[in-house]
Amino acid sequence: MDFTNILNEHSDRDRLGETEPPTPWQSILIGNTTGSAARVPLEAPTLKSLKVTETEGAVKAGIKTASGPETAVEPKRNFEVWRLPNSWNLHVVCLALITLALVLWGLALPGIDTRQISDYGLILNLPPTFFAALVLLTFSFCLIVRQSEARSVKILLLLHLVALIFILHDTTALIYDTPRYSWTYKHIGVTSYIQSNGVVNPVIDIYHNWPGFFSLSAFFTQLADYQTALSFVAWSQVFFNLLYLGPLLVIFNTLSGTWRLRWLSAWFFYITSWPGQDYFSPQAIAYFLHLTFLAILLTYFQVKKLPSLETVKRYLPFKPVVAFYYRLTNTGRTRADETGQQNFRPFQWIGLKLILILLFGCIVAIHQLTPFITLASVTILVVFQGCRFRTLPIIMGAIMTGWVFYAAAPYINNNGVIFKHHFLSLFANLESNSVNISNATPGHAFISIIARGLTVSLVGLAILGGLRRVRKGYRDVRVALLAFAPIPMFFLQDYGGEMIYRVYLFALPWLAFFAASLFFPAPTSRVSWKTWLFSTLAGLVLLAGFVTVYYGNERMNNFSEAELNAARFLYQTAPAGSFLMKINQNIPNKFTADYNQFVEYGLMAEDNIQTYRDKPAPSVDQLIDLMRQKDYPAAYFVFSRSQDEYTALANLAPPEWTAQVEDAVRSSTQFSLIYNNSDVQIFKLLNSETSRPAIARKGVSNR
Amino acid sequence: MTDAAKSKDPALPGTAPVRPTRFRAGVKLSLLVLPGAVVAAVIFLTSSWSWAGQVVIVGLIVALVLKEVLAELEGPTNRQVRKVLNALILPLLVLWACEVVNKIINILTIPDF
Repeated sequence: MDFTNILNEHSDRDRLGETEPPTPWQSILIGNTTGSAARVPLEAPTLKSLKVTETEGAVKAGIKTASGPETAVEPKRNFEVWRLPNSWNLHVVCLALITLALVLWGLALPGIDTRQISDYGLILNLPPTFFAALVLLTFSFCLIVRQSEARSVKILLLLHLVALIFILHDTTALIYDTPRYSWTYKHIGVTSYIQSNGVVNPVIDIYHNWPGFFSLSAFFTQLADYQTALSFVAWSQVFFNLLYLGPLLVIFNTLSGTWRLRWLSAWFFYITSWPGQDYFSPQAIAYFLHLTFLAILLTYFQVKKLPSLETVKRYLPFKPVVAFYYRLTNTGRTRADETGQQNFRPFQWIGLKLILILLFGCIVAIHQLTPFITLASVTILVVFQGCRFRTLPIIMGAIMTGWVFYAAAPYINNNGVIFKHHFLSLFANLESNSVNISNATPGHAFISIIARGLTVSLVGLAILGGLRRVRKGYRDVRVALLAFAPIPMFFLQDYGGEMIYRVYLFALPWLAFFAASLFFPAPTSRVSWKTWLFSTLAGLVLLAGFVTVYYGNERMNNFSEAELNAARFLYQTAPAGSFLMKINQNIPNKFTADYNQFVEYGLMAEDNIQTYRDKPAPSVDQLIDLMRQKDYPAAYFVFSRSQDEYTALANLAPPEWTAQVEDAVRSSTQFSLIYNNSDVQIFKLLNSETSRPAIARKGVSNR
Repeated sequence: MTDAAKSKDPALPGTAPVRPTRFRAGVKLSLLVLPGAVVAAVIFLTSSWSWAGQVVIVGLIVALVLKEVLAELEGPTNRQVRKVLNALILPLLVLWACEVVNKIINILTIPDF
């Protein structure tokens, strides 16, 4: 065997930068680009693209053809082409840049003051070295993407993404003493409950009706020999974002054979994923399973043979509909789509199918919303001939309805009205998802505007990228359909005002792919200065927006050690069945194994029987009446810094509102201050052990 | 060539399998759908899905998964089982659809507080 020829062949491939050795590990890590099913599936449909493919073949064979940028085996050394003399120099430079970026980030961490966070979030507290680290990393990443050799830079690209994830998501874990977000603590509580009791109790709350994530967390907490998940949840964001990387790279690999496009898509995904759903939560792990599910589906279950026009006519009425469907499903195809399927053995196919069904079963048991979006995505793929596992949507539908109507029946039977809220009311749901910034604080309004700007920018880049792909001859119909798949969720309900974030999150991989397509729409052996400059600038602008928005609400999202200690004191000393009143629920709460033993009440929570949201401050008598509605063994009122921050940022009440309530409680002889530290004051209602039926359920009307 | 082979050889005149007309296919479909609809009505009138819904869903999932598994395997027995499953799945689908509609209506008619 002539090894020289083989080496030369590889050398040519690498020079083109589009091919990789088809080892199984690399297929998983980076993706297989050499003719397997993972390769080309969703691109290159037209005559133009076929010409490109042929030309590439000629290039690989060492034949110089007449035209097109892809035809050059050796890039011309003109003013448009910029190439370092030795690629290894570039590797060393990039490794040095990553190291420097990490060092700068490490130096920045001690300088971040977490006690003085303004309405603008953490961004004003971040030292210049933090931003310098991100700029260096972006510059270094784009420098590598400009490199023409694919094979030798994969590890470097991966290192960049991992470094980016650590810098963006590990910063808060390292600078705060406690985990972010009040919901994190509730999730810790459910985990602790399962850890202590060994079972779930579906009558407690919604979490016990979708307990997959909590059971798994309890299992791992036990396995790691931790007493509570509180010990490690601060690292969840790093953990989940690292998890997403695998399925994301596989998905992008199935969408394009262009390595630059794949890696830049992943980069864009991470610098635009601002909704912050990656904390210790069911949706975080459900999102990972959703991505894995789609990665398997897109890689292995492409349609081998499209239905003929005659077959389409049999199933669809009206000629225009038939013509539209036929054109839509027949664009974006190559010959590889029909012949490039893996030659698996029957048991391997059975295994893959069962894995898909099992994955969806896990998603269903973990989260309420994700299965709907997964089902919508798969249905779209099946309807438009993007998936040959055609009974899958029916199986998924049956599993989903089985869980919702029977496994989660204890919750649905008592709270079905929640699902009824705004059902099929598109405009009402859109309205409740839009934040009114007219009354927000200047900083909060600024953050909201940047979030909208970031989203619009990404969508704009995606549209331009999609158009550029079309101009290059690609028809990514299925990618576009997958980007649209989550949008019908707006018809279901508003999801507590969060639906818009979820829809954005589930559309993000596809939007990121299109946005990256703007810079690298097709395989090419060289990258011009212009492309390099604009991709770097776009990366920096999006990253600046991400840092602004992602850390934008830190004033209310982070809790001090003092607040956590106060909450610990409260749960340890309050007798079971106590009534715990607060201004709102933005405080570490419900994180103990016996969290269901307490009645938690926020004055401004909308689901309370008596909410004071947007109303005058209640008098002390009204508060006492609320706290003595039932024969609680004890009643407490908790004031804290983070509650005040939430009230101010969410503009629930004027700043003096909370102060009035606190003053009223402090000056009342009915309350006694039992705990006081820099951030929290806990008052206990005196004589609350003795019931006072004469005044119960009276006098709770507004002033 | 054996008789069995002849009967499936489309090259021989008169031996190709008879393709059902649209009318026949419609009748066949109705015959499969009808039992499902009748059973759905009976279940709804007698027990309002309190127990049958779970049986229908589990039955449908098992039938569909089994069909997908068998679709990857060859052999005459598998083909026979697949035929039985195909005949079973359609009535189960009808039952499931009725159940889902019933449950959704139940949720939508919950009185507001």
